[in-house]
Amino acid sequence: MPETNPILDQLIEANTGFVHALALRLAPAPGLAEDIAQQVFLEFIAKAAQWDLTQDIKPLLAGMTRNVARRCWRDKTREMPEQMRQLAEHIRELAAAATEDSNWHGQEEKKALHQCLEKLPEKSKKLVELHYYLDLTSVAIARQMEVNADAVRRALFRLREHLRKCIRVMLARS
Amino acid sequence: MPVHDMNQSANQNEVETLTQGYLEGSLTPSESPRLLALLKEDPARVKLILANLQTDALIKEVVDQSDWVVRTSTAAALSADEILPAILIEEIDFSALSASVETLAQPNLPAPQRWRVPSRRTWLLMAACIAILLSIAFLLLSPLESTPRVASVADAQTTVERAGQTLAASKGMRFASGDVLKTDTNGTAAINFGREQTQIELAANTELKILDWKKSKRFELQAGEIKATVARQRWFRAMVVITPQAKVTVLGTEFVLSATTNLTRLEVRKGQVRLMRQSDGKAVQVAAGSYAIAAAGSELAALPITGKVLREVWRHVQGSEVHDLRLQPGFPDRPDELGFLAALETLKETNDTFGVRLRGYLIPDETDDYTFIVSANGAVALWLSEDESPENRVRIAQASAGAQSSEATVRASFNATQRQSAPVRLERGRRYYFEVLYVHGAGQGDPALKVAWTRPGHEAEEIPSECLAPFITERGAKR
Repeated sequence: MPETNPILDQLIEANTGFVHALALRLAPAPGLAEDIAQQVFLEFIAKAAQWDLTQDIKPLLAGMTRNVARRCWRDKTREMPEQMRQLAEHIRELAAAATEDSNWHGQEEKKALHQCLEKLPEKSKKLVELHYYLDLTSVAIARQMEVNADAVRRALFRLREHLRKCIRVMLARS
Repeated sequence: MPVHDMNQSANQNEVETLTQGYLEGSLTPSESPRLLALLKEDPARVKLILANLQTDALIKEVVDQSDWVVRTSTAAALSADEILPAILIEEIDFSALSASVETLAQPNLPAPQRWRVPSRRTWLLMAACIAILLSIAFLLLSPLESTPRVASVADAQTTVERAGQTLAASKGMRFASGDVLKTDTNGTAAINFGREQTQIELAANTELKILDWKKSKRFELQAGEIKATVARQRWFRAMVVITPQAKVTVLGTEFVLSATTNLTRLEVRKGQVRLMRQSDGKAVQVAAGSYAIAAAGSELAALPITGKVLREVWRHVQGSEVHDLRLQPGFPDRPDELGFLAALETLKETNDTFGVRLRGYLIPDETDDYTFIVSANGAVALWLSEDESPENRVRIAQASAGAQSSEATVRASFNATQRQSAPVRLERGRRYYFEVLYVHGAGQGDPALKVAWTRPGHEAEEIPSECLAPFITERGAKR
């Protein structure tokens, strides 16, 4: 297990971003990249004795990520209604074809986001809390407040845009 | 506003609304084609989706790991007036943000000619910087603190032993490191961890010692049984439960663990758990739908859980054939009822129209050529996979609603050829995914369903429960 092998710990830590970013492109659905990354590392740890840890493990992790992502994506979309599956498959194809390398967020982004969250007006913080902390969907939030779900969706979308801009500003300035 | 601008604005609103729906998983089937069309119109929009998915993961991670959330507020306490106008109208104060960052950075200021006593404002700024740095350091370096508390107690005799004293356990009571929570013959109790979605339920006659939770959650199950639903734990901070015979390590899953003086049994409902035998250090990964036992003289291996099957029910199905169930709103993801049964049974207490899906794995106890027979008062179809993957299932037997049978006929006869599969070769001990869909329509009398198998030289018999294992998804507990 991780706590018993510091080399393994370091390798996992160093490659967490790589696996997450690849998983996101291979299976662009909410929450799936994190599930895939966790499963990849669980499998990697389980078979750790087989790997030569002195070599670059990125190709190995990339292969494992592809396999796990394929499996997870299949599970995720298997029983979707047809229209939703078509949409999901289209997004996956476009994401897989996207050539630019995306990096997963690191500590700097986390620090920046934390500061941006602190800058939010109190009411916006509450929306973040409802959606990201209590895991309520915009439909659930709208139902509780008896308003149109589309209004909540737009509010969440714009809030996220603001936060992303804010992170960029913070990183550029630091 | 010009018509062109209005259209553009409406289009932008639509993109935002639908994209947000996809990102949070609330997009409906009827909305999907529109988002698909918008993406085909401008494929670059997929980059926005990817960026947003990543931002969501970042926000969630930071919100989950930090304490900035206003904990006292609840969803129920908020109204539309409190949130929406503010979100839609208020902008984040970027000018203030930029100014404050510029104030912090200042790399190009000319070097001072001589040292001057800093102004009060400078002192305040320095103090603010130090406070921010300390806060960040605290957030990054401090352990995950989510103090366990008693979530529920079902009996007054449930106690907490603390430093040699015995205290009555009560709801909301905070645990200290080293506490032992004990339930008696009639008692049950549950522990939760603040905002984390982890819960541990103690069955009767259980003793659980809380060792630690600051770096990682560590418990000692001294006797009895616990059922745990564990939210995904932080990297390298897996939850650990120690029993007299074993050590159980988990990152995020749902499992039942029981311990007696001579054996430990682990049953995994979701995810994957590692069980290590204390006596020799041998370990096994136990996946969803499997169990393992750590005991002297017992082989340490993950074995499938048998004796149960997953039943999902959809009420008020429009129609009486199997394909009508497949067209039912809520099928296949949102059944009206869900539970585990010991046999392949339908609902019996109603004459209403409904559909049932039974899912699980067949684990034959002998290698042979098996023939399957379905008999029902209603429509029924049986799918079987060549392995444990639901993807490889094929329909091997069916009976339509037209071929109605009375319950007595269903119970007595298995001869109708249209309800019988061709012989299928199954190997002993292997898991084969199966699925039964049954629809009971209006005016069809009492619901009845029977699924049986036979093999050369043997009578037809209902599939024994020890050859059935429930279908369990591999997904983690939270999300």
